[in-house]
Amino acid sequence: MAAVLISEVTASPAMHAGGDPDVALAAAGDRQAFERLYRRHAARVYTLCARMAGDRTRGEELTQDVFVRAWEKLHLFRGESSFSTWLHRLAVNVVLNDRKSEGRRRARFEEEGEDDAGGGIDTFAAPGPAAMPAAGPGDRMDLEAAIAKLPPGARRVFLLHDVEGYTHEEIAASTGVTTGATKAQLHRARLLLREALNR
Amino acid sequence: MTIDHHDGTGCDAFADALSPYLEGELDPSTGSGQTATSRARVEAHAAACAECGALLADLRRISAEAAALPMLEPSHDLWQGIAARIEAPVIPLGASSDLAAPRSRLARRWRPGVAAAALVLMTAGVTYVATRASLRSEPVGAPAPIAQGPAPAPAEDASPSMTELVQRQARLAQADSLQAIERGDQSPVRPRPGPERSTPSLLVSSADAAASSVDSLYGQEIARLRTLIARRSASLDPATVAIIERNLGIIDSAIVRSRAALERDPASGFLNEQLTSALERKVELLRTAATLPARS
Repeated sequence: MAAVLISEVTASPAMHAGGDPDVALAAAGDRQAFERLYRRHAARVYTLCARMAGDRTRGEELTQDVFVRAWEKLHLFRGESSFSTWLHRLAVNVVLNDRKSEGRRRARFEEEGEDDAGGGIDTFAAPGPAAMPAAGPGDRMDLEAAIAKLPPGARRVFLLHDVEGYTHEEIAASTGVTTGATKAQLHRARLLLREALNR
Repeated sequence: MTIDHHDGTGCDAFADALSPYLEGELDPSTGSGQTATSRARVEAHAAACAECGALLADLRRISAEAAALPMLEPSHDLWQGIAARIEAPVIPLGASSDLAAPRSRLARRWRPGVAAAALVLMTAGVTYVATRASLRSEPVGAPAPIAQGPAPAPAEDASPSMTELVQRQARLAQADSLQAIERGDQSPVRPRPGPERSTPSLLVSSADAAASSVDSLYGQEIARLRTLIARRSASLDPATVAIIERNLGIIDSAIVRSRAALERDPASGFLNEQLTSALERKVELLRTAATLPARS
């Protein structure tokens, strides 16, 4: 299992709030407070999930998974970072673990495999049925669509580094590869994006 | 090869140094060695070579634009799906068979019954919650009649009767299983003398009854989930539905094979577990499908 970006250690109840009363209420089981937290943070979590998955529909499913997981794990939130940071890292973990689970499901049901296993390849991935918006015929591809078409390994590293601001050390720890590999993936992603955007 | 050359070799060296340069790993000093690749040398080459200069500018622009990408919005409110899931208790269906210590033959006989009872309790809850959520989100065909007298009971009030029904079924299954245990206690595993001693054929028939009850419970839940999915089919992504159906076909094949093998060897604990496991997987997949968010 990949190392996680958050530490799920037991916290004292007094530490739950992290300065946000809704966090403390939700940790105590208040679903209305949790819904308010969802309303405040849904867009950011969805943005991460949709981009990492390269698919808006899958992004919506993953967003739901993140909040269900947050509900289950909220009692472990120590309040050492902001709730937003904790939730965001939880979202990263859910998305990364989903990729591993997806791989297992594909193997189980003998679906066709994805195009890379973290090592990266030199071509763009084929878009899924609900892929992020792509450019029309004759249009130059925009950055959002180009990112969605990156190979999954390169896309993950590019999004986590250039969009979300994680360091190579953090990305390497969470994805179980070396920093050398994440740097290579990042550079490859940028070159592939340039190629797509300049077509 | 040095990066200072503005020919092919200089461009190759520039390309090699580009990633470390962008990562801020190069020495900022000017550097004077033949192979030194400092930041200053990379920048000097980029300034002198139009192609490499454009490459550097493009990669910087891509990173800057990526950091400024706007937030995205989901196509619909996802809270309903989240609420349905956090209201329903989740019991890991396969955990007991995967993690537990090796079981005795006796334990294997009653496990499916208890698992089915737990499963029915859980999945019926999920089905109920998902149905309720689904119905809430779907347009109503006819206007609701104006209430006369006391307001009608909310939809939630209907839940106890369904829950009671399910609990009753689960209790019956559990009772069957417990009877099987009691009979099994007197089986060849721990033989006891006396008139109450059960025969192996009795044991087999009680196991058969438990298996039949389990099968029936799974069948009911599968039918319920199928109905729910059929109702939601128009709002689900056809590609996703196709994948689910394909995977269900694989599971159904496993169920058919397990049943055929059980007909030949009805007392086999292993085959019973295989069948139960396949049924569990089917219910799990259907449950996932039933709670999928609507397509955008």
